Amino acid sequence: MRLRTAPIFSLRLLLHERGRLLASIGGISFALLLMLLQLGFRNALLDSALELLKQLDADIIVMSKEKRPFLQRDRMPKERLYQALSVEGVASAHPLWLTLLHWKNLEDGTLRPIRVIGFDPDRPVFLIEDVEAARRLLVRRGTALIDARSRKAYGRIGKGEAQVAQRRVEVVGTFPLGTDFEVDGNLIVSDETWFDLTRSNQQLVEMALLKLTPDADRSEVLTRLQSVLPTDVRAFSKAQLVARDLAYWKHGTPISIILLVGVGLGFAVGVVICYQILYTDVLDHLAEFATLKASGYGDRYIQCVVIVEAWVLSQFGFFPAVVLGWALLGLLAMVSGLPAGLSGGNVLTVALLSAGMCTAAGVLALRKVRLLDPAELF
Amino acid sequence: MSIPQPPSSRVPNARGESAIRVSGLDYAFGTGEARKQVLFGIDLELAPREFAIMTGPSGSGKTTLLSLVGALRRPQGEGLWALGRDLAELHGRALEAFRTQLGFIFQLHNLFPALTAFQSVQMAADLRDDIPGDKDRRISELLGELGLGERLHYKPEKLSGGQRQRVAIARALVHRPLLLLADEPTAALDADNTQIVLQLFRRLAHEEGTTILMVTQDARVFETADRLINLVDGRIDSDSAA
Repeated sequence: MRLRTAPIFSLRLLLHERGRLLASIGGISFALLLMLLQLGFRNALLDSALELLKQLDADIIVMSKEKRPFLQRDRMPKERLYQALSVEGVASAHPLWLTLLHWKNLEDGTLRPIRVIGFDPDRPVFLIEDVEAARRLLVRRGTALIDARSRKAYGRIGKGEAQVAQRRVEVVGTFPLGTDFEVDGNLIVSDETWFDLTRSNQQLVEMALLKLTPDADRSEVLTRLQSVLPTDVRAFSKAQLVARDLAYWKHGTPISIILLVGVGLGFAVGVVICYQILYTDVLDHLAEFATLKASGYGDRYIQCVVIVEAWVLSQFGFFPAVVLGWALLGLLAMVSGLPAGLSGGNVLTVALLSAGMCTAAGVLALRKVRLLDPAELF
Repeated sequence: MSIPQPPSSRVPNARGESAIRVSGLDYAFGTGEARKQVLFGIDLELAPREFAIMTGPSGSGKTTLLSLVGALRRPQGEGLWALGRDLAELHGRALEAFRTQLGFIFQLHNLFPALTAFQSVQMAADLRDDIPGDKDRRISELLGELGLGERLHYKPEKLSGGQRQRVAIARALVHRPLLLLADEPTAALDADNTQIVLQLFRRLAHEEGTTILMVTQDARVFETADRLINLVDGRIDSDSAA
């Protein structure tokens, strides 16, 4: 019965000192913002690393066994392409090449690495509409499409002359893909242009993108491929490869772990900030809380008041943090070209972390409540 | 006076019990070499409806005795009963429930700065479900009687020291306590308001059945009480009708 009045009492205590309340919200928002930004950076890491893979039009991908992650460059003999094509259920097998070359910013003369992706322009391998629409333009040797989300450091991003690996290239269009943690831009060229630029061994390919016949069973084809192909390569369904790379980036890279530690650090900072707020509040009203105890209010009531204060603060701090987090990550995405952003799951996670953070701080502050001695009042 | 008459069952001596019974009570602070005894074999009995003033020099043990009777401090042995309960046996919920039967007035008002006068008194009223009639009306009338009718919705920062102390007094009285324990309740009040409060105490004792034990050094208020107890060096020096 009495506990029902605790929430409104908590609100009255919080709202009484507006200045302190705003400072408290600011502190908690700051801690939550730290967590949101770390999650946003982690999203950028995971999404950017998988974006090219997701945009490939393939049922199965054959590539070097040593290649991990997918973006790592490790070629295999072109022969594997034909071996794969011979397997029952495989309708087509298209090669893809990847490399890093130097792009010259024609405005300031600086050189920057750019990922150059080569493919056979007669065969569609991308799910990106702009690439598909401009694919035939790449048949002409020396032409390229540039990622419109490449960083401004490359100079002018658009149609016109460019210089890659000290060779002249004509950019004939753009496509949207986005940067990642390795490079700040992408270029798509035909296989012929790719070999012109790289002077690489034409008997090697980065990977083979397989499409299956409509009646083929994917897992059966995968089994057949593994039995036919030599052990230097492996075949993955696209979903398997996405899952494998996701696991690699999530658990196998220091940066992902560092970003998660950053979330933990934000949580710890939040607990400390929230604890200080609640502890100070209890300390400032020690005699008043002790008077409540003397009147017959139990420890449970006062604990409830402190915990409700903690939850209210967690909610008050949450919304500004989400708005600011969204804005900052949006700005980061705009400046860097990285797909930095927050998912609904991230926001929900931080909402729960926020409640947990403030509850933990509240529980720590309750130690002071337990020590309240109404006998000291007389 | 707006406080309604209590049912006779409120009075703890319905079976002939004392409101307060202290028998051979000792109390000491600290242990070992730091041990300092402040109460020595106190014997005291207060009947229901009795209004007693306890006085004595500073450090005589008045406040310690008051806090023991109010179950704010745990007795160090047997010999302390209030409202028919052995205070040495009270713990947890039973202790909380016992305290709701009491009213405390401390030297400092201890009002939450966030609460208005009305809300502060309401917090105390919310502790009891058995307050007859409209609680809000009772709070307003009690504050009005203490001269705060125009200040119901003022927070402590907008009240004078005396007004704050009167809010604290209303907080202690709103639930019609069976036992009122007050420590220098009129210290912050002017002469007129002191008289208002003392008249209210007398009416509470004689019409409501509240037993009052009030600590004060203000000799001007001694005659208001039924009984005057003088405590010196932890012992009752005198105990007589006021």
